[in-house]
Amino acid sequence: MKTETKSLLLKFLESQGQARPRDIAKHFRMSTQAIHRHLKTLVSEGLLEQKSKPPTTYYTPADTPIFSLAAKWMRISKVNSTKFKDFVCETRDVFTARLSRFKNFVAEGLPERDLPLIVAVSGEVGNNCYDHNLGKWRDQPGCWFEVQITRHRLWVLIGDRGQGVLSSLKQVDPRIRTDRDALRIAFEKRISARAPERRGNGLKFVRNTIETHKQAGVACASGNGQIQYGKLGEDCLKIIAKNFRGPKGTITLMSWEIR
Amino acid sequence: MKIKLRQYGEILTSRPAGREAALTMRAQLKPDKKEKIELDFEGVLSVGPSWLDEVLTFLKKEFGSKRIVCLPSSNASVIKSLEILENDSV
Repeated sequence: MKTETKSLLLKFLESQGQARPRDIAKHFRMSTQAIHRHLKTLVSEGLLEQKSKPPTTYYTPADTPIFSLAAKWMRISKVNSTKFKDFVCETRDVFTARLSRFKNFVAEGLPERDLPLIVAVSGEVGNNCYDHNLGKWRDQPGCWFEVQITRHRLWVLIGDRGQGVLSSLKQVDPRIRTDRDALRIAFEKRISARAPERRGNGLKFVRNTIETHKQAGVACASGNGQIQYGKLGEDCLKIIAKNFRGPKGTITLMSWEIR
Repeated sequence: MKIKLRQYGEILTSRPAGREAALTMRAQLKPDKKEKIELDFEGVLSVGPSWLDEVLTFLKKEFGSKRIVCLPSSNASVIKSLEILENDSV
């Protein structure tokens, strides 16, 4: 019976993403003490993670980041709230300055040897948002930049409310038909939406760096297209598919195993 | 002569920033006719290929590709960025 409860509890958290003990107890009509006991066991077995966001404590499935705020920012029709300001970088200067925040994650387990490459690939993805959308933002300019650490992984989410990859690359090659083709070309071929400028190696650098790392991944979605690379690419894609359906702009999630 | 890239920032990313750095270098550099120009990455936390491409393309055009030398660095972002730029130019 106990095992069944734990497995139901896991399924519940997988569907919800995160939940507070009080809400879990209410859902299962159990006492909070009993729920706390199950949660403690699941944490010790490495299946759940306990996270604190004062004044509440909540639980998530292990190694699963929570991007509900980013999903809301990408989804809503008009952005006029200040609650997103910690993650939205309206200008390139703000984004570049926030890249130095990665240094803070070394104390939380990010290996120093990986730091230069993680900053470099994040820089390329983020700068792409500005390169391809200056003068073409749908409404709010800038990119969403969020970093999270879970039990074994670092997650980097970068998104924009711009024109999308297909619309951007079609300006150079009108033969590109689908969102998926546009993404594949962006990551695998040397093409730039700002021709005749000699550009277009940034995303190839991202793919190459992640594919040659022993435990890393990247997934990107734009419109109806999705693409993934690297050993953890599938995990990234699952999280994107769950949180961001058919984004009008572009959303990229990268993950690195850190311990 | 040596260019200490740390002077241009700890994180060297984006083409616009690379272009600005290259323009500043042109204004400040006064090398002798055949003198080599060495790029020193000491103290730089991270460099991206976009930034580096802007700087190298500009310096090579200005002074000739044989005079531009990237000093060895153990920084993984420097190694990887140079690798992708070399593959691109082949």
